[in-house]
Amino acid sequence: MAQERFASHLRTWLAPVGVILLVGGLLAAAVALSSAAPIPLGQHSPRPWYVLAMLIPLYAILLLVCVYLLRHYWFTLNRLHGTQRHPYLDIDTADWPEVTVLVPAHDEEPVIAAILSALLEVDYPPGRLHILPIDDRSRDRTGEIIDGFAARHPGIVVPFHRKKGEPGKAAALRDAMKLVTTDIALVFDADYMPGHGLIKQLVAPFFDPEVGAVMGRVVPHNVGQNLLTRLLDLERTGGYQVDQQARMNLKLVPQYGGTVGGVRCRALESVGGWRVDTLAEDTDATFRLLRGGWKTVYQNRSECYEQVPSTWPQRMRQVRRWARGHNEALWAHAGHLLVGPRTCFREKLDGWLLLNVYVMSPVLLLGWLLAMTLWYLGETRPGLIVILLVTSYSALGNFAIFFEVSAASYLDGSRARVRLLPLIMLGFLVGLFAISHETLLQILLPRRPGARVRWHKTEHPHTINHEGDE
Amino acid sequence: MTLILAVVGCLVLFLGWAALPLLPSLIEARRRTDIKPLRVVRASDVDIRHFATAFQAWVEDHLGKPLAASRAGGGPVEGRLDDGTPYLALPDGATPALVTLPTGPASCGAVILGSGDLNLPPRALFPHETYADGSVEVGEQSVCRAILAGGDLRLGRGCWSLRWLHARSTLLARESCALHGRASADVSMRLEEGCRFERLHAPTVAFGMPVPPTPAAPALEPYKAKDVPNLVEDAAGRWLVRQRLEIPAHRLVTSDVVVTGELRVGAGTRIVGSLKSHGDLTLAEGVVVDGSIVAGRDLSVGRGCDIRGPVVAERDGRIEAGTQLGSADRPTTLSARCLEVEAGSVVHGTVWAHGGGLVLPRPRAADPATGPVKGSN
Repeated sequence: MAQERFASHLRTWLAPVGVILLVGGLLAAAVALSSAAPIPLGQHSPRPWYVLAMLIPLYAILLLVCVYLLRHYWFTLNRLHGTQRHPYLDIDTADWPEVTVLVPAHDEEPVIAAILSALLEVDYPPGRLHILPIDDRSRDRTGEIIDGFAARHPGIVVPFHRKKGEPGKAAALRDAMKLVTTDIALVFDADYMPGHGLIKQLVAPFFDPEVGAVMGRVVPHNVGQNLLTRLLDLERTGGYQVDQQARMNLKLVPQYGGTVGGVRCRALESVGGWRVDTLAEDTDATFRLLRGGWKTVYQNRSECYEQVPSTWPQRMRQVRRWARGHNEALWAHAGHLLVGPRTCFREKLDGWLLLNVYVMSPVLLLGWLLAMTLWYLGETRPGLIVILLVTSYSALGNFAIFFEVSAASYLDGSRARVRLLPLIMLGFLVGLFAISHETLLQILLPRRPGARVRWHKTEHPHTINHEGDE
Repeated sequence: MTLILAVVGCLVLFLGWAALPLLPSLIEARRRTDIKPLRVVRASDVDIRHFATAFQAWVEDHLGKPLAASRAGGGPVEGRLDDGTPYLALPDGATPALVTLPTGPASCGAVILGSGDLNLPPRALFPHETYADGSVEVGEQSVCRAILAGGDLRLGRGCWSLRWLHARSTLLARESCALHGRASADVSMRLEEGCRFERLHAPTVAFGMPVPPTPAAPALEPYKAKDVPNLVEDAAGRWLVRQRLEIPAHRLVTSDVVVTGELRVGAGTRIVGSLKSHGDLTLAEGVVVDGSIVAGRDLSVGRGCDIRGPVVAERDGRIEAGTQLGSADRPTTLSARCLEVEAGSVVHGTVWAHGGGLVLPRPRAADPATGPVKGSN
């Protein structure tokens, strides 16, 4: 027992010690390189004010990027060597509570039947699972298909036809929640394919009275479609297998992702319900629950297939929507989070860093702009450029940095696909500019309070069967 | 011209050298050797009977004929599988013959099939799976890889199972058995003192002989939110408490309780809700919890407690005698890293001890007939 505890302590402290060594090394390198051309004692550097005005933000940006870099190293080391937390995975026998599964569907004719069929086959006590498909202003046969299921499974499939109202998933969920009578509501997008035991796995964490939301792992299904889907598969792997699970391990802030997950209705109601004036109702819910003292739990082994975007325009729209929604959550919660009484210090810190993830893209570009401008102004500091180069390389990718993707592929046991890792830079660079563009637009042309959100739906042309083939 | 060629040559060489690290990427992008989605369905993780069910299907597919011959003819049937592994189909009530080597224990190196009841001799090694249509009796200090019993399964003192056990009826593990891996029964299971275990499942899992229920608690005094020190929030049916909380004895709490530090609940208190602590969680004797319990660190459950929902401890757990978890109509899960359970406790449902569990002998004071029981408050 003592040996086991010692090993556990060792595993726990390995990551922090590694990170501290890394920080030390980076700082030492920075100091060494920055002071490559020392100014003689007694002489003041004749720096103009505008050089200083650029130099100070550059140092700040560098510090910020280093913080993110270290955070991601910490996560990766923890995932590889730390103690893994799956506290609710063992709950396979219980008096399962009633649960409602919401399936928002806007023009989802090709996929809606598959998910409803899958939900009807899941392992959950009869009479305790209610399926509530939301026909959200569909113009195709989505509503008709849903009605067919409701007629064949009365009392289990209860359709909600939403003919008018604000666009967007959040608005659809808010309206549908009026029909939910259970305390737990799970949400699946229409193109997802829940497995046989998934509902129980997602409900299990709600036995913990502190849990307000739960999130499962999203696994791309259309991996082989083209290079983009393969790169997105790697990105998702890093984001869930390493980033989310490490935050779960370290008791930080795992994020509710809006699908393959669910919420405790009374918890969400107590913090204001679904917000409809945002493009990222999931991030917003995560942070409002956090500020209200409710935890979000990530279940890495509760996996569900999804279809990732297969064209670059689709991907760009998705990234821009995420960036805009995430940044809205940043404006709404960053300040409150830091002073709230219901969160501990580590949650405040990680939550704040999480909120700023998308802002880091334009910040990184700004850093490069400042560094290059200073270079041409004669403020040549090769140390700063080298550090910026290294940290930029390792800080690209928001939720899935290069080494996180590598570690995740290793953990998943998928060896060949990780060879595509260098090409993921392509996706990261596209994301970097798309996010920066969207953030800049958000700053320059902020949405008026109360104005409607523009919702771009991701198309799902294929269906998925249970064997995982299209 | 030579200069131009040299420059172009150098440029090509440089570009080729620079692109060399991309070669595996480009090859993989072109060959598409790893384009299948990750497999996400793991029935073996979810269903404790997975191996038993799969073994049953395997027996029917591969050994159905010899088993049927044994059932019909009454004599033993021997043979070999395609991979050379021997099998032995035995009639009702038979005992397999053992091979004794100069070193090591006596053993039977065959897959054993019983067309009725089966007796496995003591102090022997059975390195392959065992199947019986009827009940299986394992002699003391024997070591088995895996057993599927169509009826009852009884392990003698000091037996070891290495992979899994499943009984279609009841499972009994006598003193000091070690049940590595999974053990399950469709009706009930009893583990005697000194038994070690990892993952158990049955409608009723009894540790030792059951203890008579503790007498009903006296009238309970309501414990209100205003009485709670360091209360951060009382909303959505939940108390959120900063730091440590000690709920006094014989109180009635009608709320979920979440504590960021250590939580102690006094004797005889009833919680109409669930409990969560980030630190250690301790229940004194006779506490009743209608909901679930989640301990961020160690969990200690006193004598005669009654917990109806799932119980999860992220570190170690100790359950004292007379405690009941779940009920026949509301089965539940008990999970901890390491678990010590005193004989006299009952769990209806699943028990997980990832780092190992141990059945402790019941202290004499645990029996209400032997003397007064002391509460913590």
